[in-house]
Amino acid sequence: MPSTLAQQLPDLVVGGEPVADAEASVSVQALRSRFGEAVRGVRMDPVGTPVVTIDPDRVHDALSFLKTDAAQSYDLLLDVMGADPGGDLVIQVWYQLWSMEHGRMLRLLALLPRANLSVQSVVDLYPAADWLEREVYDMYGVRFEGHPDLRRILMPENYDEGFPLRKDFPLRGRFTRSEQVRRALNRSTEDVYSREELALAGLLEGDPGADEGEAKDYLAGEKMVINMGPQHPATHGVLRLVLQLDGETIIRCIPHIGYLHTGFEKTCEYREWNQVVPYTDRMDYLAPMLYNIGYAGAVESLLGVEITPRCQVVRLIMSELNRLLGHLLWLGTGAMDVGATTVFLYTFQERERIYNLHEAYCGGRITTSVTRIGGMVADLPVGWLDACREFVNGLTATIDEAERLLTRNSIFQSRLVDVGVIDAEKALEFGLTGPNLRASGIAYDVRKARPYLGYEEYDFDVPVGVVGDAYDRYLVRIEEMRQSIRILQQALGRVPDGPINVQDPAVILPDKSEAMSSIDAMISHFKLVMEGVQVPAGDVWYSIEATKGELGFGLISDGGPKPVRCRFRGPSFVNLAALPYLVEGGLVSDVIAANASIDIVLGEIDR
Amino acid sequence: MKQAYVGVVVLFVVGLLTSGMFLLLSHLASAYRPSAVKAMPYESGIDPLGDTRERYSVKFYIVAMLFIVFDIETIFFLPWAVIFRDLGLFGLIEMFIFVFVLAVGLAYAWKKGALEWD
Amino acid sequence: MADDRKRLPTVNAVGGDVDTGPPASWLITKVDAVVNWSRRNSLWPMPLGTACCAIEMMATAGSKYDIARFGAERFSFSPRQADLMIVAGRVTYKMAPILRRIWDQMPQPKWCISMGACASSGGMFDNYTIVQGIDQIIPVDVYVPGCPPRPESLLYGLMMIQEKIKGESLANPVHREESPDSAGKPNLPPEAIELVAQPFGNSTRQNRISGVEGSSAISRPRDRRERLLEHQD
Repeated sequence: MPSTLAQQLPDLVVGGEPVADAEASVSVQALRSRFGEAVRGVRMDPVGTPVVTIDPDRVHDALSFLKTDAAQSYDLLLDVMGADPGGDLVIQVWYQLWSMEHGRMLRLLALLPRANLSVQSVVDLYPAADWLEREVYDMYGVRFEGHPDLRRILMPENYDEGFPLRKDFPLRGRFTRSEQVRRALNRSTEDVYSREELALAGLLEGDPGADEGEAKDYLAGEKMVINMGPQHPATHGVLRLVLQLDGETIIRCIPHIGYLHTGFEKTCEYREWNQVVPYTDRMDYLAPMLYNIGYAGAVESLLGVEITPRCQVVRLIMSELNRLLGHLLWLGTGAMDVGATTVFLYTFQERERIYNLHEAYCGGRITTSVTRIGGMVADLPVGWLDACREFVNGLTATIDEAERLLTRNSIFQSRLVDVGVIDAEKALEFGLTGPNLRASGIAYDVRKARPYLGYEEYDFDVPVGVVGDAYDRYLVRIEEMRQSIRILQQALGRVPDGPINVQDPAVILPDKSEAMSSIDAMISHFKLVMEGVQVPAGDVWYSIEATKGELGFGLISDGGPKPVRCRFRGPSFVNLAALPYLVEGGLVSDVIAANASIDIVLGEIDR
Repeated sequence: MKQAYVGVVVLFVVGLLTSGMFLLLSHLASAYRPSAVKAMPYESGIDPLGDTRERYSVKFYIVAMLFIVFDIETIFFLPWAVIFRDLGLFGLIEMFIFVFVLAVGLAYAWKKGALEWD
Repeated sequence: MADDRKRLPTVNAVGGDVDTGPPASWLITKVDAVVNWSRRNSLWPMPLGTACCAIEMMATAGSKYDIARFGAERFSFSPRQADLMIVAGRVTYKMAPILRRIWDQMPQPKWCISMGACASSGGMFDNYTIVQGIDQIIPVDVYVPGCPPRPESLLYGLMMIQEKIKGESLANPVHREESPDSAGKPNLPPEAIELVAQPFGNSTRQNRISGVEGSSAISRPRDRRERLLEHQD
C-alpha cells in the first residue's frame, strides 16, 4: 500500500446534538457567563441555530473567545452579512460560525445605531472576513475598524451614489441613467487601480519605493504589473487579476471583482417570495436548480412548512443532477484551460443530455426556476425518471473516458500537482468550503453534517484529499461525480407517489381545475396571486451543499409578501479570496491552473 | 547546375507574388480607421499600467539563446539528409562529431542549470 | 427563384420599393460578392461573455449546435483578430468602460451581436448597476432576445449578421464609419439614453421604500412593523 494511504482518514464532520432551547446551548451559556451584560438577547433560529445579540464593541472579544476556547472552537466563519430593516431601525451585522470539532452552528448579531456605524474588524481572527467585511462596507457603509484594506469591492472604487443595500437608496440608483453612463465611461486610470497597485507600479508620487536616484539593480529584471481580465478566456468570467510579475513568477496577485455585480440582493427585496426564484437561477448559472432548491428550503424553514415526501426525493434528484452539471462544466473548462480541449467537448455533450432533462421538466435549459415555496413548479412528466436513469447509467463511461485522458497524463499532472497548495488549517481560516476544503483534508459536507432533503437515508461517501493541491481538487471532484451517480441510482428507485406540492392553500396555488370550480380554491388562488405568500416575521440562515461549497441564504421577513433582506452567501466569493495565497510565488501558468481548480462562478461571487 | 536553381527562383518569385497579392487585396478591401485608443496596447480592456519598455527578466534571453543554437544545429542536418547517400561513411562520422560537440555544449548547459526556469 | 430560397425572410418595414441608389457596376458587385462571401463565412467571434448567456454561447460552440459550420469556431479573445463581438450576458456600469474600450480596439470591419435580454435592454435587472441595453455604449447590429437565448437563436442571430454582411458594399462604406473622437464615448446621446431606459412593466412597482412598507393594499403595514420589532430583541 502506498505510504500516503497508510495515514488515517480524517473523521467525517457531523452535526452535534440539536438543542431544544437556545439557553441550553453550551456556547450561549459560555457567552452569558463570560460577557454578562453585553449579551443583549438570545433566541433560536428556525433551523436550530442559537442567535446571540451582543454589544457591537464586544464583538471582537466574543469571536476571539469563540474561536480559541477549546469547548467552543468555532473555526469556520461562514458569513458576515449586513441587514437594514429600514426607517430608523438599527443596522444589523450577522456573524455565522461553525465548529468543525463539535458540529455546532452559532450566529452573533451586532446591532449598530445609524449614528455610529462602526465595529471592530475580525480579519485578524478569520482571514475569511477580509472580503466579507469589505462587502458589508460597500453595501451598507459600516466601517470595520482595523481592517487592513477597507475599500469597495463590488461597486467601482470611486462610486459615490451611496451605499446600495440601504433602504433609503432607491433601486435604480440616485443619478439619472445618462449620468450613470457618463460616469461609467469617464473612469480614469487612477480610478481602476487601488493605491497598492499604483504603488507596486511605482506610479504614486512621493512614494519611497519609486526609484528616483536609487541605484537600480541592473541584473534583475523590472517587475511588471499587468492585468489579467476582466475579458479573458481563462478567468471563468469577468474576474480581473492584477499581477505583479518578475519574469514569469507572480510576486503579488490582487483580484478585483464586481464586474458582474447585478444587485440581486437589492432587487430581490422588491420581489415577492416566489418571484425571487427566477433570480436565483442567474447567480450560479452552471447549476441553477441547487440555488432554486436551497432558496425554497430556506423560505420553507421560515414558513414552517414541511414539503411532501415526493417533493423531497424529486428535489434531491434535481440537486444531484445539478451537482453533476456543475462538475462536468468544471471538468471541461478546467481541462481546456490546461490544454485538453477534447474533454471540453465530451463533457458538454453530457451537459446537453442534462439540459434535455431540464427542458423536459420545466422548459428551460439553464434558467430553470423549478421550485416554488412549498413544492415544485410541476410534477415530473411521464417517462422523465426513465430518461434520467438512462442518462445516469451512461455517464460513468464518459467520466471513465475523461479520467483515461487526464488522470495519469503526465502533462496534466505536471500542470496540476503541487500547484495551488493550501493546507487544512489555512483553508479553514480562509473560509473555504466544498471540494476545496475537502481536498485539503477536512471531511466537511453539509449533506452529512446537517442533512436535508433526506440525505441521511442515502449511501454515499465523501472524498477527501491529502495535499490540498490542484490535482487533489481534481480527484475529489471526479470522485464526487461518481458519488452523485451513486446517490442518483438510489434515489431514482425511491420516488414515492403522492402530491408534489404541500396541500396548503396559503402557500401553494391550487390546481387549476379546482380553482375554476370551487369558491374556496378560487379565493385562495386570488389571495396568493394578489398578496403573495405571507412569510411570518423572523430570520434564518440556511445552507446547503452546492457544487462550489456551502451555499447560504440569509433571509429576514417582516410577515409580508416580500423579503426585508435576501442574502445569498455564494461559496465562490469566499473561495476566491484564497486565490492570492494559492498563486503567489508560482508561475503565470499556475494562475490558470489554480483558478480553474478552485471552480468559481462569477455570478455568485458578484451577485 | 543552373536548371536545378530555376525551380528555386520560380518558387521564390511565386511566393513573393502570392503574399504580395494577399497584402494588396486586403489593403484594397479594408476599412482603415485608426485612432489613438485602437493603437493602445490591449490589456483586457483596462488602461495598461506602466511602460511597455520595461526590461524583461534575463531568463527569457537564456531560453531564447539556447533555442537559437540548437535550432541552427537542426537546420544544418537538413542538407545532410538530402545528400546522405553521396557522403557515405565519411559524412556519417563527420556529422556524429558535429553532434557530439553540440551534445557536450548541451550537457554543460544542463549541468549549469540553464534549462531550469527558476 | 433559386436565389430567393437561400435568403432569410425579411420584413420590409418601409412598405414598398426601397430606393437603393444608382445601380453599381458589374465589377463592383462581383468584387463585393467575393469580399462579403469571404467575410461572412469566416467571422471570428470575440465572446464578451459575462453570465448565463456565455454558457449558452459555449454550448453553441459545442458539438451539438456547432458554430463551426458557420466558420465561426475560432473564438478570438483578443479584439485585434476578431470580427464579431458577441456580448453575452449582463453588463454592469463597472464593466461598461471595458466593453467600450474593447469595441474601440477591434479593427474594422466589425459587427456586434447583443445576446440575451440583459445585453439588449437590461433584462430583468432594472437597477442601479446594470446598463439598460449595451446599445447605449456601443453600436449593435443584431439583438438576440431570450433569457438565455437557445443556441439555435444565437445561430439565427449569426445568420442575420451574415445577411447584413451580404448587403454591404466596398463602394459605400457607410457601415464602416468610425470616427477617432467617438472612442470612449457613449453610443447614444443623453436624451436617447433617458428615453430608452425609462422604467416599464414590473419596474413601476418599485414600492418598497422602507423595509416595513408593503406593496399589498390588503395587509396592514403597521402590523408588520410591530411583528418585525417584536421579533428582533
